[in-house]
Amino acid sequence: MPVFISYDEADVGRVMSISQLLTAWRVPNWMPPRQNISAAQRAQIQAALAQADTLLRICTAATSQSYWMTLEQAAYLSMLADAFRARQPLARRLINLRLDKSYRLQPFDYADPIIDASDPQGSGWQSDLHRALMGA
Amino acid sequence: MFGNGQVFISHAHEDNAICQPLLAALDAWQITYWFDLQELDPGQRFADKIQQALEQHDLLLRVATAAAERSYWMYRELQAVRGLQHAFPNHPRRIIHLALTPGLVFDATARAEMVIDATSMERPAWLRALREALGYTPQPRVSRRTAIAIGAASLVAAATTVLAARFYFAAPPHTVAALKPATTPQSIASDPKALAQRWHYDFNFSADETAFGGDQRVGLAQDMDALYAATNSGLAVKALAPQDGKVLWLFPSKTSSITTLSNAMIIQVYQNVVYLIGNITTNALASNAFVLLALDKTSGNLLWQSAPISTVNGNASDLLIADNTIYFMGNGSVYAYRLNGTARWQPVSLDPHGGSEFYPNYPMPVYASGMLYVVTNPGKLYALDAVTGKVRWSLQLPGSGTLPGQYVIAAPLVFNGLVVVGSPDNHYYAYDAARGTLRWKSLSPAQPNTDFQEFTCMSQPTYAQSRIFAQSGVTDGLAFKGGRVFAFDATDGHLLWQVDPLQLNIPFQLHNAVVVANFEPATVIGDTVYFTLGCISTDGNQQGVEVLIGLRTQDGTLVSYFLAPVSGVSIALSGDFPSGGRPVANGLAFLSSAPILYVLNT
Repeated sequence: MPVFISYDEADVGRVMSISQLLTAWRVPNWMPPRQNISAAQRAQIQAALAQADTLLRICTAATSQSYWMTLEQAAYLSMLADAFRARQPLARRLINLRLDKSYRLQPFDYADPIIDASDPQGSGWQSDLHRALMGA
Repeated sequence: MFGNGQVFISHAHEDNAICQPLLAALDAWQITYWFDLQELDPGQRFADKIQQALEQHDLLLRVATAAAERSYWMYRELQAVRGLQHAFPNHPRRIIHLALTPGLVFDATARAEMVIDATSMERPAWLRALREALGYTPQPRVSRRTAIAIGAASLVAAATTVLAARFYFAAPPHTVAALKPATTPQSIASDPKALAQRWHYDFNFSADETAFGGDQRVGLAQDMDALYAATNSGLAVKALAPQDGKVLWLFPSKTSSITTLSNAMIIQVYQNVVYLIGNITTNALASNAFVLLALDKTSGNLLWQSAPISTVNGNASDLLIADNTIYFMGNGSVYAYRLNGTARWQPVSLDPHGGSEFYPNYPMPVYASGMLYVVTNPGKLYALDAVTGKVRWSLQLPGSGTLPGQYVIAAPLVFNGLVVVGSPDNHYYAYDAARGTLRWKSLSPAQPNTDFQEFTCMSQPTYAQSRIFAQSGVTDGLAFKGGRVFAFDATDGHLLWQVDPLQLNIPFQLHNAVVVANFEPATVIGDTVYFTLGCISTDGNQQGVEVLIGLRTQDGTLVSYFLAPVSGVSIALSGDFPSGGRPVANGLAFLSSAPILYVLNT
């Protein structure tokens, strides 16, 4: 059940906390590198995407202009499409974790689970995320 | 009509043909709809305008077929609308499943939404059922088809909301040798790869024009309903039917308060309105001024005109329409107008010199995710907040400078969080759209410009199918170096294929020919990428042709072509370029620099 965490480099601090939370839940996860990416790292990112059964998109103010997040979403959707055509629609999934209210949800975001963690006082999102990752 | 009265048609690309009766019915009922003509790759699926279309249309009409069952993208569209229904219960949305092939099984959720089984009844019956489901009542307005065409300006628009391509000649006018109306050379009439001409319109010889001495420069916009030509002579704007070239309307009309309109070559069509910049003289005003005009696209009637734009002297860029705003560059500044002709923000001056003697026109701005990207010369790339006009970042393009060959002449491309722009040092550079940091650079296969005294042409790139298509060359009036068209990988910029047009099996019939590259973007339609460029003989006989070539996006194999004879002198010295390969109803439009507008059957 490896989780590929797709994020913008501007959010690396917050995303590390989320990665640690997933690790505490014993959910294998991986944060791809974001700076000075070499050809080998690029290949590593592609391999990790192919192996991931969940793409966790960290949706923040930086998302709409994030080069890597856009690429990763498009690539993962291609794999979702392949799984759909192979009649294995549950083989992969995409989850949107919204950290900032300034992230404007796009219509296609509503095709997948959206977990709202944008309320700094709220903690219910953690149980929602846990449920979504466990497929409940 | 339900909700906002607009229908988003969700269908599989391979069902385009069987959707025609449905589209004809919606046209007849004067129902505005969104129908995506192209097959999009995953990156294009997230273009702002597609997302907006899905959000803004209250009714999802799902064309249910066997192909639809296999379409993941239709599945996502359906899931997205269901998600929107759940998230916004106070904003009612409806889903109608229209079954066009037999044997489909609909689950309880779909049946609770609505299923019209067109396979179990005659066409009039299911159309009646659909009409009633849509709550159709006749309205006194003209129907409109909003069809997207991914390619060229519209491929740029995969990341923007530009809805119609425009053709524009950027260089100063020179005398162009008079040509007879074009014909297809006999030698290629039987070539299956030669595109057949449906009709042509000669702006030098048409009856409308002769009283004004003919036109020499033309700007053109198009949508699925008409082609809109703006010229630099007295009868400035006309709409032409794509089927037969019939003139639908002319502007200014005899009853218009505007008596003359000249230098109107900047034109764009968006929704039901044609927007243009021109120099007008009115009955009330003896003097003339440059203004922004809006015309009703079905009648040509003037809707409004802006206050005079005192700082624009005709050297304005193409119009970009995005986020309910008209953006353009002129005199070194970025302008923003609302769709009612009032200024959205004060012009933002980026180039204090106000253009250059070598290249007075500016490439058009490009929009993506609330940002504008513009280039000024010598060679600066800016990112501005589209709402406020505030500069977010800027950078100097490598290789740019003050010599004529160091100018950047084509607009950038924005897609997937990247800004790609051709620089005179023979490279395309890709920058992070949010921050301006360099992601990659790609070398052009054309011979590099070494002394920068010549005119360097790096076309506006086009994105499709995870590739970037472009052409480049060094094209001065006296010294030519071979132009090339090519494709490179959009993720890292490595070259995938390149083509020397002279090596293609096209009967140019020119001796010692050279290729004159063009800065116009390519157009991608399906699996074919269309480039427009010129070829001239170097024998001093003034012979030349302009060519539209269609190449397979995968490997650059020749698919189709069209040749238009022109004076080699006009290509070489006027700097005018052919333009086109843009989709019109069941065909392609191609504008030669003669200028002659051709509509070709595909």
